[in-house]
Amino acid sequence: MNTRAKIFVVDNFIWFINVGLYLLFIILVPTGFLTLHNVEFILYVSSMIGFLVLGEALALITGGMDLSLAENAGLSAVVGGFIIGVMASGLPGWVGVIIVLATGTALGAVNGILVGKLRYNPFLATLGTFLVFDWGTFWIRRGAIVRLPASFLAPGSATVGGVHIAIFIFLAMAILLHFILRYTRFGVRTYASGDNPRAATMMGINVGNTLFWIYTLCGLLAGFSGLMYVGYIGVVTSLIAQNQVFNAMAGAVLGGISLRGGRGSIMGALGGVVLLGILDAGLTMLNVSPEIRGVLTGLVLLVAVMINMVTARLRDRILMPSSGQD
Amino acid sequence: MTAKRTIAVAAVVVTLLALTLGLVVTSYADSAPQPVMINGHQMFLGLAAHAVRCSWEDLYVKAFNWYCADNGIRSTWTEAGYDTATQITQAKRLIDMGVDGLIISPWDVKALAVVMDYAKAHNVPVICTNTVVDSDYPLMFVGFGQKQAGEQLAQSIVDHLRNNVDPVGEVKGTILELSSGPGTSEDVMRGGGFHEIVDQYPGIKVITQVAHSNRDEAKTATMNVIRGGAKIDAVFAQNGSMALGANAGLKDAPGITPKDVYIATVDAFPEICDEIGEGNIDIAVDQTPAFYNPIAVYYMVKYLQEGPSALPDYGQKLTAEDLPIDTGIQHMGLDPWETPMWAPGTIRHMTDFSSDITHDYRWFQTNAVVVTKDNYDSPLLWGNFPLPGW
Amino acid sequence: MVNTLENGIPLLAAERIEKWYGKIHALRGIDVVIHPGEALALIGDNGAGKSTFAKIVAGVEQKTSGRLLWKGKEVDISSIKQARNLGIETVYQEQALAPQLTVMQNIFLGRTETKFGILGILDNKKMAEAARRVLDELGLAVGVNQEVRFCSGGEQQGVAVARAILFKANLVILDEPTRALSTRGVERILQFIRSMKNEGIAVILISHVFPQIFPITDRFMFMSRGQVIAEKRREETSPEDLSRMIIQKTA
Repeated sequence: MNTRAKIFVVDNFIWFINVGLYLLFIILVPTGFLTLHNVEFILYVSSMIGFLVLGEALALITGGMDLSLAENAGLSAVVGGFIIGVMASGLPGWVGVIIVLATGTALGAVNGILVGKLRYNPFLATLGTFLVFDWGTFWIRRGAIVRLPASFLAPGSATVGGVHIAIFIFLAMAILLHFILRYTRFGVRTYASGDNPRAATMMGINVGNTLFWIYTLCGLLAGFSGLMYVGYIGVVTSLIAQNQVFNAMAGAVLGGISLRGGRGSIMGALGGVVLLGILDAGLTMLNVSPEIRGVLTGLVLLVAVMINMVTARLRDRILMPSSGQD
Repeated sequence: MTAKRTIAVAAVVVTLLALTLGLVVTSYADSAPQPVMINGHQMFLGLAAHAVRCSWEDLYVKAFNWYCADNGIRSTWTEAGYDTATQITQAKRLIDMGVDGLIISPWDVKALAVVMDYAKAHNVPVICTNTVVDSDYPLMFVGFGQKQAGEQLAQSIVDHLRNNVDPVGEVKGTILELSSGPGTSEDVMRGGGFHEIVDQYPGIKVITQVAHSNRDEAKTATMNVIRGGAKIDAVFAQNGSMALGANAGLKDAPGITPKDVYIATVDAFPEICDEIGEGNIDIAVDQTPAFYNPIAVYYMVKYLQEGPSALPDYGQKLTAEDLPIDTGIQHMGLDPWETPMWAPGTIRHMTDFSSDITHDYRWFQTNAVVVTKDNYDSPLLWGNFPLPGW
Repeated sequence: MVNTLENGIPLLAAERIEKWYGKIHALRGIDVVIHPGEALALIGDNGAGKSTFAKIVAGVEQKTSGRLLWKGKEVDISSIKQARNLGIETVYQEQALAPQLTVMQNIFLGRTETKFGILGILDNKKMAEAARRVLDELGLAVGVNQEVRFCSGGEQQGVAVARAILFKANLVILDEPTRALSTRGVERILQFIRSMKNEGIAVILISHVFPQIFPITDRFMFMSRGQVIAEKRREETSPEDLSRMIIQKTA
């Protein structure tokens, strides 16, 4: 196998695991796993948490983290739902969609200012905003907001030819982010900021500015996640996406994103999302009890971290030049 | 990386993978006797529980599995960890897996309507237990009313004031009401039922304190009320934690004999049962989690076999003879259905249940269990049920 | 190959530079002059003020008083960016590289070539070609898409030097360039410095181990306690002479 093929396998190992896991569940689950509908449903359900995984991946690549991501999704959804469903119920649904995305982005920008401009430690900054967003949600609304316009729910609920558009929106976003990180100046700055912020600063990269935009982007992704949740459950509740942040982090880590920053890819994160989705579907359909399921999910995470370490070493070995050493 | 290290890493990976697989395989093994058949296959029912995080919920789910197993029905279940989106996903998955009927304890009264639409589209009948959904699709809801619990406790306090508090024969006295807070479901439902009764008696004075379902706050509030000079004859606590707090407050307050104060509360978890045994708390009403799902499964089976005529009529009163759900089989050393604690049941309209419900369907209102010194140690109370691990 | 600008004006002239860190007098009014294509070594003990002076020129630190003349005009170097705009580059041994980025990405770090305007799409082809050309010039066999963490210490400095050449720096500051390098690595650094001098780039070397850099240095400035104590051209001295001088002055 030539180097290129080896690197391809190593870099996309998560997808081989996904295929293997899916095949395993086809064997174990008596009926219903090997259907297009099941694949569609796994992807549909994954799109909600998927946006959070993408956001967490971005934050992790810059060497930080965003603990407030899931709560941002919840608060954005409640703000949008409250305006469109309670305060100004005459407004068309698409205005609500924009409000949710704008709120998510604005809340993300708050993190961006704290981390990027005021130099807060990302953990502490987003721990603070996590609490603010979480309780802010309840402050605005306890309980459900019903009677929402269909167009407000559409991004997370509408289908085209039997496939939920949420899947297309999610995949399009993943591809866009992949492109931004790989093929734009902003992407290089993002990786450089996570890899060696000192070097990046010395070379004239405005690391604070880069972080500001990354956390703002995280907020936009949280807004998308909020929209997906709202469409999925059909109402706005004050508990949307609550406490999903560790699942989001698990997804990103499963996909090979390093907590040390500077390493990881969006395609890997996408693989992590799909892995979580397959695992959840398979364990549900296998009637695995919740305790065992929780333990299993944790074990899978540990195994994945181990696999990531092994593949990273393999990758190093493949790429290590044999000449040129002083 | 040395060869030794590679081997160590590989060993860890293999061990974890083996553990993972082993757990999957062991968890996936069960069998059932005497299958109930429908359309050429064994009847298959699913339960989408809102969560299994306490012994109450554990018994609620176990009773479903036991009852199905005893009756030759294949069953599966999920638990959503108090998360609405998760419960929707899980319920849809159960439907995708081809369950013949779905039992669910909806975690969100409005949001789970999505699942009702999905079930309707797939022609899967649904019965709700424990909690409700606002949709016209379910066949039935099985549960007792939180409001009725408040009414029942209020009545017991009224009786206590009439029979044991001077002047005997008259309903006169002061009640401390510990509230979970305005707008909470406990305040609206349990507190509402309580007030519906006590407000009819002009001789009763109610002092309401908000303690946010919290033991410490209830203790502080109780002591403050007593320090303020009020003579309290009875306490109505909207939940068990606040009853324990009131009890602690009475013990610490000067010039009070705690056992003289009548304490009534909703919830009979183990600690409450103990306090009732000690004579510190006088009465608790609670639900019958071991019965909800067996009742639901009983009607689901009948419905699947006989059609809509199998369902009870509105207004019908049901006794233990009408509903033979005791299988006589022991589970964890007990027959959980030996005493029909749920009886009598009444078929009411869901629109009576709460103002949240705008669509009507049957409400199988079970009886609430009253726990007093006479029965506080009954092993059939969920608080005493010998569940392993709790 | 030492050139002078028109009328003999030096590339950089630092006059009476003073630096105070609180109560510490780090630089006590030093004068330094450097011409294009010249290699100037600042030698001396720790705390002599060599690095402080280099940081002031690089825009990392600010002088307390004194004047900096760039090509004869007084300038204010208040940031790294300003220094870079003048054409002053600093090569640190490790800090200025992102190890997980490629050689090419590191060479272009902060100065990425893009196309399609504000979209900022990377022009990888253009960057790869330019990077390859400079690396070949420097005799570096590393691949442009190799991650920098796989490069040896000498190669990593080569990447930094490639930056300086590619972006037409006028003055390059090398901070302890030979530290922690093998003999072969040191050879390579000396080659880089020769290449830069040939390009007309002025080089300031900060070093403890001046014998290693002796062959390519044009002028030595010996510093001690914030002052320039002696200045010698290479022709006037030898490594042994310099060692003797340091031992005497610091004793």
